[in-house]
Amino acid sequence: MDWRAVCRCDDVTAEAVTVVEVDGVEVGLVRVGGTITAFENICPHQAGPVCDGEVMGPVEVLLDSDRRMLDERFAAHRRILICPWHGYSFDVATGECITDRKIHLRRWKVREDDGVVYVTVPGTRAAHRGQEGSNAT
Amino acid sequence: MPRDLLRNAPRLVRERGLDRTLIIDADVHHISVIKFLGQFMDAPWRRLFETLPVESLAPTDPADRRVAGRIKRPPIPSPDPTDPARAAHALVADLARIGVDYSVIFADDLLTLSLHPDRRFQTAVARAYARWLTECILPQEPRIKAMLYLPMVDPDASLALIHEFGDAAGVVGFQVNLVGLDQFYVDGCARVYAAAEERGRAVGFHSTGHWPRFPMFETFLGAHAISFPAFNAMCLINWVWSGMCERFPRLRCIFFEAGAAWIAMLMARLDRVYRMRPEDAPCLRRLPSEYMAECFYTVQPLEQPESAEQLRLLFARIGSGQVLYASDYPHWDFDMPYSLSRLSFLSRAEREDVLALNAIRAFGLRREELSLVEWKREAAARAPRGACVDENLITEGPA
Ligand code: FES
Repeated sequence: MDWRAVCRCDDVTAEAVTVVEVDGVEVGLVRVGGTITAFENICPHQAGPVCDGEVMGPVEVLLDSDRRMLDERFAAHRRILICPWHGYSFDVATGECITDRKIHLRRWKVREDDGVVYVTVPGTRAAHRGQEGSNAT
Repeated sequence: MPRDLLRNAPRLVRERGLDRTLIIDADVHHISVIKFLGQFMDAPWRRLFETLPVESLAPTDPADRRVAGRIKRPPIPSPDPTDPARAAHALVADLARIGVDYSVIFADDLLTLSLHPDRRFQTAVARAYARWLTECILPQEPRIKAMLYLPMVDPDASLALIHEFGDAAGVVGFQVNLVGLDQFYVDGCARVYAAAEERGRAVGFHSTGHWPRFPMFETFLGAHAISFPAFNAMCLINWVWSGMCERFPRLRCIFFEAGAAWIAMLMARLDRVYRMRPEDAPCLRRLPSEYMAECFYTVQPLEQPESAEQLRLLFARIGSGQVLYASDYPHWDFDMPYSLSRLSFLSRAEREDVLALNAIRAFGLRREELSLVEWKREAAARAPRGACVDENLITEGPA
């Protein structure tokens, strides 16, 4: 497996996506809990640069015992990445689109070693599709 | 420094083989102009525009189309009074990157002008906009075509505008904005439509998702979802029942930006009621759906049903020869030209019709005068046709 060093672990946060380029392909890195996930920076909707989007909690609603709306807030338990082109939202833990489960971001394998982030470099798109976590459409 | 948000697009255009396909975008709204139009007005309107922040005069909509900053677009240069074409060149450059060769533009802030209660204001802005386009934009930027705003509250003013500017190079038609209209002025404006027909210019009917017109909805999403098809349908109903297609058989009319599903619904519904009450529509000689099948439609934002078969049936009902590609760029729900590749039931020739040839018919353009933008010409010269490297890349809707 061809692993490439792309940045330092400290460069990757949970608040925003860090975009790196590997052999001309942009990959976005974001911290989820204790690990890092890596997505190709191309949206499965209409190919926008999804990793340039905001990372935040989805908006959730609080209901009272009569099921009236009490309040809205950002959910604390889940983080989404929002594509800047049309607003499709993807769970940063899985890459799954939260409004259309048929589509999801392409995930790349990623590991941290001695303060450095490495991602795999698939040779071709076809090879990439065969990898774990990627779109098998 | 913000990153280039369009950087993925040229690659997709190439991968889908669209870098050698002519693309005409029938609906682009890049430029907000009202506040720059004072210099194209006569007194006393000119003084008003020079002394007030004009944005405060134009009808507004409190909706947040950028979803609290989640949706982003490349920065849009404002029209520069000393170099009015600069913003137009920037628009063409952006659109060229998504593969568009020619754009039919309509100014963003004129989409709600028909809501303004003062007909003189509408007329003054309409005339200044026509001057701005025909003096400063269209002669400088051949890749931009334009539809002029018709202040339909004042048929005489609309007619005068057509006479004065309707033959200018680059003017391909006239826009009627539906959102502000309580009547659709079908019969009362017959002279206006006759003038457009005589000149071979299209008439477009365009709505917008204007929330205050739909106060029954608690969210903008509700108003946006129904506003476009509702206004298009209301206008088309009047258009058909008034027999406008019989009275102006050579007039090409275009309904904008409401998807495709409403068209099939309306065809079925109008045919049903017409069969029972033809006396109410004495101008008609055929079924309403037959007239509707002669209109043109931009179907952005195109619906995403679970099955491609549903889209195929919609296109079969409308007729792929009547559908115009439109991006609606840079609005929040715009469609890229390569998103049409999911219409796998269309042949390559039919897709090319949708991307350009139908627009050539609808706007009365001349194919021999149109060419690909420079980067597409170079790409076409360098590489052989074919090679869609990854048909599955875009997975919106059915593959
Ligand atoms: S391209 Fe990402 S939401 Fe449309």
